[in-house]
Amino acid sequence: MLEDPGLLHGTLDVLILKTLSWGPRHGYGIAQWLKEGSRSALSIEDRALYLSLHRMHDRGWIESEWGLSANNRRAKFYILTPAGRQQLLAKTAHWTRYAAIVSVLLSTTRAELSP
Amino acid sequence: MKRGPLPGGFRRLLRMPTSVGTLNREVADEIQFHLQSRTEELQQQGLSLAAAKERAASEYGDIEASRTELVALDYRQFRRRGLVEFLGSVCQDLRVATRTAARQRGFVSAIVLTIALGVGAATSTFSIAASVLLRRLPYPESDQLVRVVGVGRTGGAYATVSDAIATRLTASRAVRDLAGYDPYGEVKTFARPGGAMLVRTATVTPSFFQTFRVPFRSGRPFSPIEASAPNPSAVVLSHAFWQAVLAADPGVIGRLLILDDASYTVVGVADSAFRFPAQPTSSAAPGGIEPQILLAESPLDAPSATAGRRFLVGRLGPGTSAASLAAELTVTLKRSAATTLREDGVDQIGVVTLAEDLSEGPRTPLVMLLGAVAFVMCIVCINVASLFSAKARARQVEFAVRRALGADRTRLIRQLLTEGVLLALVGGLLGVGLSYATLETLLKLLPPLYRTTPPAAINTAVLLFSLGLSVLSGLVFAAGPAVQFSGVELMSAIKGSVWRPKRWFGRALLQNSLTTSQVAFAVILLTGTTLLLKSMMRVHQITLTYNPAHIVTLDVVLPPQRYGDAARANSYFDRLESEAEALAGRSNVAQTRFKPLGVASALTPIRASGASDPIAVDSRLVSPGYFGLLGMELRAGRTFTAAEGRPDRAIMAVINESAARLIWHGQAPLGRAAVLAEGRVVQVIGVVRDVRERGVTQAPAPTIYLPVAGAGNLRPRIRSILVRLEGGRQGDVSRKLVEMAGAIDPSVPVTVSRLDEMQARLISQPRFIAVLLGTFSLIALMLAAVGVAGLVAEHIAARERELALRIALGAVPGSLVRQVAMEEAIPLACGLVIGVCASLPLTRLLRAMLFDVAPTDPGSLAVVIAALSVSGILAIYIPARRVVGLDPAMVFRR
Repeated sequence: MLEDPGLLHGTLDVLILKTLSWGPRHGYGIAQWLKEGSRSALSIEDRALYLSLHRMHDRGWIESEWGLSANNRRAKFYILTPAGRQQLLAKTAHWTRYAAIVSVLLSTTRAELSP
Repeated sequence: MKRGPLPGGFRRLLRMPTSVGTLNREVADEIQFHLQSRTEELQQQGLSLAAAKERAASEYGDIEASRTELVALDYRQFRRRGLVEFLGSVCQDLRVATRTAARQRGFVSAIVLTIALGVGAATSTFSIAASVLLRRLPYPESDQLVRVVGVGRTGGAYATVSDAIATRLTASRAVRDLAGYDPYGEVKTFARPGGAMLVRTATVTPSFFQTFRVPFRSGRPFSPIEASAPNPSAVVLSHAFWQAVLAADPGVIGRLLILDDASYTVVGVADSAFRFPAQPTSSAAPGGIEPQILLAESPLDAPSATAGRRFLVGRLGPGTSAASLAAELTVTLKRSAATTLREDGVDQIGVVTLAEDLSEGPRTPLVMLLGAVAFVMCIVCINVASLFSAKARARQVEFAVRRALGADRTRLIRQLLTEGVLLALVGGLLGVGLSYATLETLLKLLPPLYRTTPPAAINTAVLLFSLGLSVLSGLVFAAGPAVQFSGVELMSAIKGSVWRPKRWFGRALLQNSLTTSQVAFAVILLTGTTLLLKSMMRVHQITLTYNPAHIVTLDVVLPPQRYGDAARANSYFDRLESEAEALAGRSNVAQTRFKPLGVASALTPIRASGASDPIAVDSRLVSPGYFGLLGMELRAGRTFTAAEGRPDRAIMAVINESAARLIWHGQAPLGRAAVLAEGRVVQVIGVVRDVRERGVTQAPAPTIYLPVAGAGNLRPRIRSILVRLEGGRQGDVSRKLVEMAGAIDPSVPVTVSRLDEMQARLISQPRFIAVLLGTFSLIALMLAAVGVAGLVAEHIAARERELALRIALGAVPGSLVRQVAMEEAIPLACGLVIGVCASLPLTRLLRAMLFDVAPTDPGSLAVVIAALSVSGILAIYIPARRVVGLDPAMVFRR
């Protein structure tokens, strides 16, 4: 298991949005998906997760509704809004580009100066 | 564990928390759910309950901190959305209000117009009252400024105190920054290269500048040493004078000015922000009363021999009130200077704040006008309330349906209140417009005492007042109907039988008492107006013994250097008088120090020789021709001759009847001696009839007449020549008089005016109040009449079936009308009685303005009762006539 690399700021947001892109989930459900999806490599502090959820709710990227969970318990479900979907697309593209650039730079074997 | 979409059948609950408590609970619930789910999962993996719980909690993080930050986030949203929702519903209310207003145009116009009348009247009144009463004196810490006066035994206040008293007062530590000044000032001749001009001057002691913290544009105030000189020559200029007359000369400090042939040195120029503390009552030249040049008066603690009497002003110490200062000063003086007080006729010292002093005249009338306009607003609100009620009743079904669909009653009440406030604001805006349009006319009617600089205007304070008044009225008149019609049940609304007037209880009682109040207010306003109008008629009917329109006055101020001694002054005026006689005829010219009907006069203490306590009487310095000119018949003795009026002769005096009665109590005064101020003895040689000299409305004051050319005249340089002319000749004769004066001495400026101009100024106050009060009464009467008529029409409409039934059963329509009318008239009659009773104590406020009319004058009351009865009868009968046309068949078919 990777040591907690310290998620980059804002990365948690895009991960949550991705989770919700497949349908509404409650907070616990999101936490589970993230753990399983990363094959337990990622451990996120639940407190940070909920903070991120409420923040995105304030910004209008996700909506919330109280409903019943599988065990018939009252739970707060989150749903992606159209604005949130746009954010997801934009952030995903940005992240992929960013990761590619970093990866290229890090895999350079020697300092090369192009003439 | 849950993945994928929600199972079917999940319940959709409310989206947003509706209160802070719910908010807290939801956050707690969410965290709780997470922890429970994780605990269960861990248990399934084999941990014990306790261990699972602990592990779940530690995985979560700081639970309390998390709860706090989540609640904070959610709270922000909650507030924001709450505000947005509220604004949204207010906008919705406004939209509904405008839509329904478009549908109910009749009601809306009536409501808006009525409010416009009320708010317009209130705005105009308030702007004038605010400019006079709320005026802050433009001095630092102006609420400390006070005037110190002497109060005589009868309670009348002497505006000035003697030097001796003033000096003792400066020693007292209770009053600070005591200074003397002369608010009436003197007009002097300023010798300019372009020609002589008259300037207004005032004298002040050096401490005056400290008392009023006068800001200086350049230079400095005069020092006590400069002011103590025998003929102080240091002067301070007003900013306006320096700018306009001296063309803002940068080298003005140290410049020499010639005033009345004497030379003065400029030591300072006051800043343009400084305002001289004086009331606009003086009859000084038009164009402002601000003195242009301030001359030095000897300091209070080192008075010069010629100082005379002083107007005193000072500052209160911290925590002292005017009343306590007055008491303290009185005690101090009585202990150390009791004899001085008595000689002066002063019984105690009075202290009044400067702000009160300067606004004294208009205060009671303005407060009374504000009260009157409050009555008008009450009538307006009552009227509009019933209009609004009718408007809301027409929409009863709509409200009932909304209630049935689940609308909150509070929401409906808010809707109606919003409508009410909206209508009130529109009406208020219209009213402010009305007020703005009539402001100029109103300002022209303003008596001089009410004029302020800057003049009354519709400024921010007034607009805020009008806004507040409109909103308040809106809430007041909409409140009742809002509560009443929002609680309507659907079935009864559809049946249409919601509102039926029960005879004397419940809603009917409320309505009747509102009618009664309307009528009572109208009665009070009308009574006030009638009294004032009657008083003004009486004023018109006064026959003076002279006609002010026929008397022209020539006012002259001789420069002292060339006319310093009485002989030269007398010779100038005698020459002027004889030239005027050549124009107008021998018996038509006279000289006098103080013009009749003017505000200036001299009060002098006088006692019969041998008596101990002096009484104050008017003293007038006149030439022999004065008595004939003003139609003062001789009652006994004779008037003085021209020869007797010489300065070297003993002073002869003529007194009028009331003075004779007052001083000698019925004994014949002829030949007796009287003692004036400073021990001067005069001999009474004649008694004349009492004549109105002070003002048309003021009863003749006890007066003593001394020869203007004699030793009794302490200021022989200032005089007026009165010239009586038959109608029509005033114009060219005035011009000729000015030419004549110019021929005698071209460097002496003279002003010409007519005596009736003064008279007009004197009745300006009652006329102004009468105009305003009359307007209010008309509005009140009209609104009350229309209101009553509307109510009667409504009652009859509601009672249609009952009345139709009675007609069908054989009642005579005519007598039915009378019966209905009598029932409707009862609240009116009550209102009349209550109004009359209430007006009795209230009209006493008008007493000062009424001339020859008692505040409880029965004739006026009779007029008011008659007027209201007639209007009331019309207001009831016209709608009631509808009963005659009722066809039972038609009514029951409906």
